[in-house]
Amino acid sequence: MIQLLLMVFIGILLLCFALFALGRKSRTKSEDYSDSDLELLRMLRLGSLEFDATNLFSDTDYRLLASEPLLRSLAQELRKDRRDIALEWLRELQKDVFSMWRFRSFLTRLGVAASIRNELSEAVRSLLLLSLLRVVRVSIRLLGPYAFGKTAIAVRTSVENLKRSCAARLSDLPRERWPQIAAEWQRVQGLRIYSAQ
Amino acid sequence: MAYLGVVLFLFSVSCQGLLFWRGWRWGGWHAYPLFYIYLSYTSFWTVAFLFFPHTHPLYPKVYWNSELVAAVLRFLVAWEVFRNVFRHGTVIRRIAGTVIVVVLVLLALAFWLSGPSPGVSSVIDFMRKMALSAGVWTVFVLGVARFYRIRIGQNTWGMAIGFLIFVSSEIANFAAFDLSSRFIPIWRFVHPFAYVFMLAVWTWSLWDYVPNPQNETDSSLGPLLLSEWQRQSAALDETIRKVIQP
Repeated sequence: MIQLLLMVFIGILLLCFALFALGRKSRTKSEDYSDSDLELLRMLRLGSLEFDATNLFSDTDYRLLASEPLLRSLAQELRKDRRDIALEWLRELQKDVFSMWRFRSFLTRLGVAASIRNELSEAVRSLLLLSLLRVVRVSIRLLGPYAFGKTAIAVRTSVENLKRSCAARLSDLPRERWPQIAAEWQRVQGLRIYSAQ
Repeated sequence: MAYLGVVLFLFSVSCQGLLFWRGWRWGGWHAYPLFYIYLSYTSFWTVAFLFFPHTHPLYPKVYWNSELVAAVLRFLVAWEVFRNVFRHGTVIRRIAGTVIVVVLVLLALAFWLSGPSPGVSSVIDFMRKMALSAGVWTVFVLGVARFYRIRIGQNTWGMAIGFLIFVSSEIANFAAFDLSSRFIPIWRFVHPFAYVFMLAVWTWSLWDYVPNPQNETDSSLGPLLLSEWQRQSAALDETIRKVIQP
C-alpha cells in the first residue's frame, strides 16, 4: 500500500517536473543557437560577467598568509594585487553597464516598443548601478578588496539582471530582424570606437 | 468518450507519421537510431492492433506481451538521451554514467528488498518499476547536464521531456490502478492523453535536426588544460617553498 502510494506520488511529481520544464522551455524560447542567435549572444556578451569574482574578494588566503609572520609581506603584496585586479574588473563592469544602456537606446531607436515608464525605470536602474559602482571602486581603493567584496558581487548580479532585461527586450523582436540588428549594432559600435580614437 | 478515443488515436497516428517523415527528410534514423527503434515498435503495434479483434481470446496476452517489450525498449530512449547529452569519450560522460549506474543499482536493490506488492498484477508491477527506472535515469541525465551546464539541443531535450511525461503518467497510472478502482476513470483518460502529448512534444522537437550545441570545452583541450594547470600548480609550489625557506 505504501509502495503504491509512493509510486503515485513519484509519478505525479515527475509529471509536474516534465510539464514545468516544458513550460519553462517555451517561455525562454530555444537554448540552441542559430547563426543569428550566436551573433546576438556575441552582441550581448559582457566580458566582466564571464569572470567569476567570488575568489577575488575572498580573504581566506590573505588571512592564511598574514597569520605567518614570515609571509606577511607576501600577504600585503597579494592584497595589493587583488585590489588592482578588483578595480580593473569593476572598471570593466562599469563599461558593460554603459554598453547595455547604449544597446537599449539603440533598440529604442530601431523602433522596439517600450513604455516611457519602462525606459525611465531602466535608466534609473543603470544610473544607480553606475553610482554604486563608483562608490565601491572608491571604497576598494581606500579600504582594500576585502571590505566591500559582497557589495561588488551584488553589483555583478544586478548587471546580470540588466543584461537579461536587454535580452528579453530583444526577444520581442522577430527573429528575421536579428541578423540585421546585429550588423547595425556592430556598425554603431565601430563608429563609436572610431570617434573615440 | 468514444469520439475522444478516436481523436486521440488519429492524432497519435498523425504524429507518428510526421515523426517518420521528418526523420526521413533530415536523417533522424542515423542521428537517433535507438529512438527510432522504439518509435517503430510502438507504431507497429498501433497499426497491428487495428486489425486485431479485441474479442479474440489471444488479444489480452498479445497486448500485455507487447506492453512488456515496450517497457523494456523504453530504455533505448533513455539511453539515446544519455548518449546524446554526454558525448562519447568525455570525462563528464564517465561521471554521469557512474552516477546513473549507482542510482539504478540502488533502485533495483530497493525494488528487490521491498518485493512485489501483495495482491496486485506482477505484470503491472514490473511495468511500473521499469517505467520508474527509465524515468529516474532520464531525470538524472537532465540533472547532471544541468549541474555541469551542458547545453542540450532541442531534439534531445524534447525527446527527454516527452518521454518523462509519458513514463511518469505510466508510473502513476499503474500504481493508481492497483491502489483503488476509483482512480481508474481518471487515469484511463490521463494515460493515453500523456502518450499523445509525448508524441506531440517529440514531433515538435524533432521537426528539424537541432543537435546539441558545441559545448565550451572540447574534449581535445582536456590534456592541454591539465598540463597547463599542473605547470601553474608546480610554479606556485615553488614560489611558496622559496618564500618559506629563502
